[in-house]
Amino acid sequence: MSKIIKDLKYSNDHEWVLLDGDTALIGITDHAQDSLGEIVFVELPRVGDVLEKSSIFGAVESTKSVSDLYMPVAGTVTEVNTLIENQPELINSSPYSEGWMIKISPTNISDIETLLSSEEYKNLIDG
Amino acid sequence: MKETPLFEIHRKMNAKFVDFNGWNMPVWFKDLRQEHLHVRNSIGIFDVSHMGEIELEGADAEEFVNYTFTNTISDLKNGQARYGFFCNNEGGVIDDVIIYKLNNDRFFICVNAGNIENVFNWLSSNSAAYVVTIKNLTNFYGQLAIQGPKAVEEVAKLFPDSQIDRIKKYSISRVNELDSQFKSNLSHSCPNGDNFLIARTGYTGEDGFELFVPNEVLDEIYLKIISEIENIKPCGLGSRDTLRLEKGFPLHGKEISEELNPVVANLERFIDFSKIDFIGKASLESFAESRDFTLIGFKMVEMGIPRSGHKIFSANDEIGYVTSGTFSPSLNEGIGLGIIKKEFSEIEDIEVKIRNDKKKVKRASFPFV
Repeated sequence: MSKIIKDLKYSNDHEWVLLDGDTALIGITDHAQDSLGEIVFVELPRVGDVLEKSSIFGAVESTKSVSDLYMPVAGTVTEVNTLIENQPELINSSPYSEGWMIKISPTNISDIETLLSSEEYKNLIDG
Repeated sequence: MKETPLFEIHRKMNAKFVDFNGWNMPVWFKDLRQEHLHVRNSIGIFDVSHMGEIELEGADAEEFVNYTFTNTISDLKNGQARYGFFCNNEGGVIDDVIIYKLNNDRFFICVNAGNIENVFNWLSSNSAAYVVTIKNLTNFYGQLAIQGPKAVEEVAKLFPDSQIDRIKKYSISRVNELDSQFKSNLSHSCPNGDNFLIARTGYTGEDGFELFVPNEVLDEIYLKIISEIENIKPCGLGSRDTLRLEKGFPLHGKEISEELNPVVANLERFIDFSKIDFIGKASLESFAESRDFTLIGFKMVEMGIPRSGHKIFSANDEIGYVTSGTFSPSLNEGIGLGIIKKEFSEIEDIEVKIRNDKKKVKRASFPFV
């Protein structure tokens, strides 16, 4: 059973978003890491990159497969988790915490409201 | 999607499944990397029942194999096997196969899952002048690959009367214990009577066996093996691919295909040009003379993992593409095989374009491990 955190927002592409003031923290869900298998490589954007909603901001790779990462909302990258570049396995062991990927300053904070609730996301992966 | 008789057992073991040529197969159980390393260091078992088995039988069987197969077979003794290709007239590879000589009139062929029909139809269409019957035994046989440095010793303990450890590499034999245990219960017997065959072959680069048994008793035999061999690990097709790639073995559809002849992939050692004739010979000879392309191995210098289809560059020249790539579980780095234009074959300074960026790679000989 994949873990879903109640207070987060979710995208159809299996990313989670945590809004903290005017910063949004983004990572991939437990379901996503479990489907990929052991993650051995992660590619992240540069701080300062301005990215549209649904554009590719990076990629995670397991031995077997590559999965692009899509921006759940538009925004400017303010920080990337450099720890996971050297320890990508943290994405498997702690997808909602140490395995976070990027912090962004959303172009429109209200965009985050349009994302899926935890219940809606649960329906998506159970569907 | 098609399922092997082990699907339910594997589902209960929480395997991750993937569509492989229309078959719903385990890609890994818990962890691809652990499965890979376990096969390198100890012993693993793979369900490869999606693979095909075709038998050629008749007075002209040997002559027919000689005409359709690229490699030499005239020197094979009963029970010996050889790897090679079925090529079309243009030299393209219909499939790469291991052919086992059972006796002068019978040859047993292990065929890739995605090519079973193509091979069967192609053999049939070329058989008119020969006294040979082509039997597709794919639905009859399931197949288990037991691989790793401990495989021979452990499997020999399971079948003490068959002297499994005496089977030489690239040879096949009957498993008498299984035959006497299961023969009377089989609702269908194999038309040739060889219900239980074991070959000292594999696709991991480790020692081990491939076991051909009737699908209807595959689950019983599988459960017996995984319960009686201590420390054996069920492995998925994911590690099968990384194991073969670390050894530089070609995969049909990647390094060779109907469009990619075996000369491009530097596999001439499996083509016997001294034979008077075989299908595709003339085309393969002209490819061998011109040699416009070559297969290379490489490792990543910059961070990244090469994947099939990535383009290979030398400065601004696009010189080829990656045929297979992965993150090597044994080496902990990205490795790949690629086809490049021959004129660049001596150049060391090459890059692979991964997503938007060109990443430096270094040429490496393969097997990589």
